[in-house]
Amino acid sequence: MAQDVAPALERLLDQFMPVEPRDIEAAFDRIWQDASSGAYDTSSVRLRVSNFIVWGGETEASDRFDHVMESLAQRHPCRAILAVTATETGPLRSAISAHCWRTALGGRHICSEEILLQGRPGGEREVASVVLALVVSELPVHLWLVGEPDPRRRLPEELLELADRLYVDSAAGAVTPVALRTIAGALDETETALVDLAWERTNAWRELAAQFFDSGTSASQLDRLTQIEIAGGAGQISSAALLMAGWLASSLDLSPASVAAANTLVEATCYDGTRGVQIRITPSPAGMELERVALTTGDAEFTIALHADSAHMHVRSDWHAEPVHRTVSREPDSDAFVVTAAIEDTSAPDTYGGALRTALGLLDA
Amino acid sequence: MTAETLANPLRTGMRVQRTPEACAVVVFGATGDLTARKLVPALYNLARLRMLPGGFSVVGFARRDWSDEQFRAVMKEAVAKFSRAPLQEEIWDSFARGLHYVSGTFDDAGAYFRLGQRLLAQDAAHGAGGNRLFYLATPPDSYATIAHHLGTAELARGTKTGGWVRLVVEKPYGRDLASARELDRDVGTVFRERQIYRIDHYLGKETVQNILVFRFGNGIFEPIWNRRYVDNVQVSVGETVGVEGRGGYYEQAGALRDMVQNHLLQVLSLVAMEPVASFTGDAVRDEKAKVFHAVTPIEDIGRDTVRAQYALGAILGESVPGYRDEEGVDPRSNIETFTAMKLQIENWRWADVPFYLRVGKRLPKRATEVAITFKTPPLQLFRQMGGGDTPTPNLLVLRIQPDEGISLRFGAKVPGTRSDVRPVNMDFRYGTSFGADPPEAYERLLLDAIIGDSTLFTRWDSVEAAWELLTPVLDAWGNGERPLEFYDAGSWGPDGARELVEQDGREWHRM
Repeated sequence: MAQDVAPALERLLDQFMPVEPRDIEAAFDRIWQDASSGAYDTSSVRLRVSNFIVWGGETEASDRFDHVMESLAQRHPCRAILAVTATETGPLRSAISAHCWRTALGGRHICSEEILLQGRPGGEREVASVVLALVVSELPVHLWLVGEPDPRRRLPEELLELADRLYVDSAAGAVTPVALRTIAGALDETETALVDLAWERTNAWRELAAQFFDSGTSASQLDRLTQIEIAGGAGQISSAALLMAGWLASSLDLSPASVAAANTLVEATCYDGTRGVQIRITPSPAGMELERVALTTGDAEFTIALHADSAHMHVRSDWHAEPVHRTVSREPDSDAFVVTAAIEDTSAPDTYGGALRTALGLLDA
Repeated sequence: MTAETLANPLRTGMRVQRTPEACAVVVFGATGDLTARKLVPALYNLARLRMLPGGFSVVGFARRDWSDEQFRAVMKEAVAKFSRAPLQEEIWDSFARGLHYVSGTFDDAGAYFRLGQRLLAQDAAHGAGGNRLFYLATPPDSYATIAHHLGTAELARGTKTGGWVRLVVEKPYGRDLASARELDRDVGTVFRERQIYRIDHYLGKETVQNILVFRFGNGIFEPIWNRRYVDNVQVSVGETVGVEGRGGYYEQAGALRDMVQNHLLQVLSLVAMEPVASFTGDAVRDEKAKVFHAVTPIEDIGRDTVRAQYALGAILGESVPGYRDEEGVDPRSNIETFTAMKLQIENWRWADVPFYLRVGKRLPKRATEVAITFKTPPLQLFRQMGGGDTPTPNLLVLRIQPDEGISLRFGAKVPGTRSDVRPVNMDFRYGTSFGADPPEAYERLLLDAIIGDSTLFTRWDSVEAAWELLTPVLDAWGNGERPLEFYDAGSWGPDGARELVEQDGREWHRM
C-alpha cells in the first residue's frame, strides 16, 4: 500500500528487565524515540488499537505467540502481553520487544509493543496483577487462553473480568465432547464474550454452505433437505465437524431426536416439526479437522470438499442441467490467521451458542 | 445484500456478506486493455476469495474472431501479469470454465442475437437465473450503439425468470453538457436510470471511502467540519507521468474532462456532503447531488480558473519532453495538462469557504490529497511570548494515494523556559497501521455492481450538474478568456496556479 514500506516486519528485541510498569513504559518510549529518529520527516504516531493478551504454559504459548504476532501486528497495531508460568523461573520477570515496519527512507513504524511476563507455577494471580497494570486504558482487551479451553479453572477472575473478548479453542481439548461442554458452561456463566477458534476455522465452510442457498430459487431447496453428511477429525470427530453440524441444524430449526453417538460416529435424525433430516458425522479419512460437508435434498446435492493440497476447496452443486463446480482458495488454519480473523469477526455470538448447544444435543445419546 | 440473501436461514447471524447471486458478466471490448489489466483480474480475485457464486460466468464480446479457448488463454496471461495475487492453477481452471467469448462488431445485430442465445444456454445449464451485467469497456462513442442493440435484442430488460439486468459505463460520460445529455437520452431509451452504473474507479479506492468513515464514523471531526472552523479546502492530484502513449485520447480530453469532471468533483462531494441517515445507494447519492447543485457557477473564469500545459523539463532526474512533443499530440495543441480552479459551495455549511482544485501531469510528485486548513485561533496568545509572529494553522490532510493515510498538524510547545510553538504532524498511514493488502478498486466496484449496490456509482443528476458547472469553463477557455500557460515538467505548475490562491491570501498545501 504505502510505497516506502518494505514487505517484511522487523523485530526489535530488548533485554529481560525488572517487573516495574514504569520502567517498561520508559523502555517503550525509548524504542519509539529510536524508531522515529531515523524517519524522513517529523511525523510520529503511536498507534495501538487493542490490547492482546496471551495466557498459557510457557513453551506452547511462547511459540504460538511469536507466530501470531507476525500476522496480528500487521493488521492490528497493539500492545501484546504474553503471560506464562514456567518451572525454571524464580521471581516474576519481564522482557519487552516490538515489531515495526522498516521504511525505505530509513524510518521505522512500530506496530506492536510486546511484553513477556514469566511467573512461577502457582503465581498466576501475581502475573495477572502486572497484566492489569500494563494494559493500555480505553482500548479493547483480547485475551487468548492457549491450551485446555477451561477459562473458569485456568484464568484468575480479574483477568476474566478485564477481557472484552476471550478466545479459546475447543479443538485444544483432549476430548472433544468434554471441551465443548466446558465451553458451553463458560458461555453460560461468563459475561465476557467468548470466541471459539475452532468455530472460526469453520468460517469458510459456513460461508460456502450459505452461498448455495442465497438465491430465491435455491433457498427453497433447504425445505427439501433430507441428509447432512460431515467428515472431520483425526481418529475422532473434531469439534469443527460437530459445530458445523450444530450450526446447520440450529439455523434450520432442526432439533435432534434420535441420536447414536460415539467418538467415531454420530448418527442422528433431526426434526423441525414435520420433516426428518438425517445427520451423519464421521472422522476425516485424511485426518483433517474438516474434510467434507454434503447436503442432500430430494433432487439435488451440494458438497464442499477440501482439496488434497488443503489450500483449496471444491464446491459443487448438482442440481441444474449440468453440475456447477468451482475451486476456491482456503485460508490457512494457522493460529496466526485464525486469531487475526477471530479478532475481526463481528458475527453474532448467539449463532455460535446455538450451534454449540445443538452440537452437544447431537452427542447426547 | 439482496432480499433473497436475507431469506436464507443460513445467513442468520453471519457478519454481512456480499456474495451475489449467480449471473453472467458480459464485457464489451473484451480484447481491450481495461479488460485485461483490470476487469478479469478483479473478477479472478473475487472468485479466489469465494465472493462469486457457482454459476457465475463472464462473456467477452469483441470484434476479434476468437474462440472461448483463445479468450481464456489471453485472459490467463493477463491475470498472471496484472492480478494482485499470484495466479493459482486450480482456481484459474475453475474460473476459466466460466469464461466464454462471442465475436461480433458493436453494430452487428446478429452478434447480439448470438449473445442472447449463449446467455440463455448458460442460464439453463448453470442456473444463472437470467441475471446479466453488461460492462461497456469500450470507447464512449460506442455506448449508444451497444445500448440500442441490447434493447433491440431484448437483452436490456429482466428475463421471465425474474433476472436483473444492469449496465456499467466507464468514464468519460460525454464531452460536455450537450453530449452528455444526448448520451443519457440514447442510453435512457433502453435502460432505466436504476440499471445504469456509471463507474468512477476513484470511488472504489479504500481511502476515498474512508473519507466518509472519517467524517461520520468519528464524533470529533464533524462539529468543526464547516465554515466556522474551516478556512479552505484543497483537492490536489499530482501525476509524474505524461500522456504515456495516450496522446490521441488526451488531445480530445484534457485535464478538466479527464480528471476534474469526475474524480476531483466526486472527492469534493464526499468532503462537502451532509451526513446521511443510512449508507445506502440513493441516500449517499442524494447528498452528493445536493453538493453539486450548491456549487455556484464560476463567474470570473479568467480569474478563478487556470489552464496550462507542460513544457520540456525534468522529472525524478530524467529529462522529459514537452506535451507538444509527445506521440499522437498536435505540435500546436492547446489542450491543458494542468488545471486549477476555485469553487464556492453556497450552502449553510460551506458559504465563503473556497474549495481549490488542481490537477496536473508531469508534476514533481505523484500524490492525491485533500487538505483542509482550519482557521487560526482568534487570539494569538503566544506571539508575545516568543511563539512566532505567524501562527501555523491546523491542517488535516487526507492522503488518497500513494501513501494512503491521514495527518493532522497542530502546534506544540517546544520544551524549555520560553513558550515557543512549533507545528508537529500526527501521521496515520494505512500501510504501516493495517498491513493488509486492500482490494483493487475494480474488485469492490464490480462486486457492488453485481450485488446491485449503487452507492459508489455516479448518478445522472451528479453527472449533469458537473457538466453544467464545467461546460461554461470549457466554452470560456475556447473563447480565450483564460489563455493557456506553460509550466516546466517537474515543477508544481504555472505561475497562474500560485496566483489563484495568493489573490485570496492563501497558498497551496505542499504535497
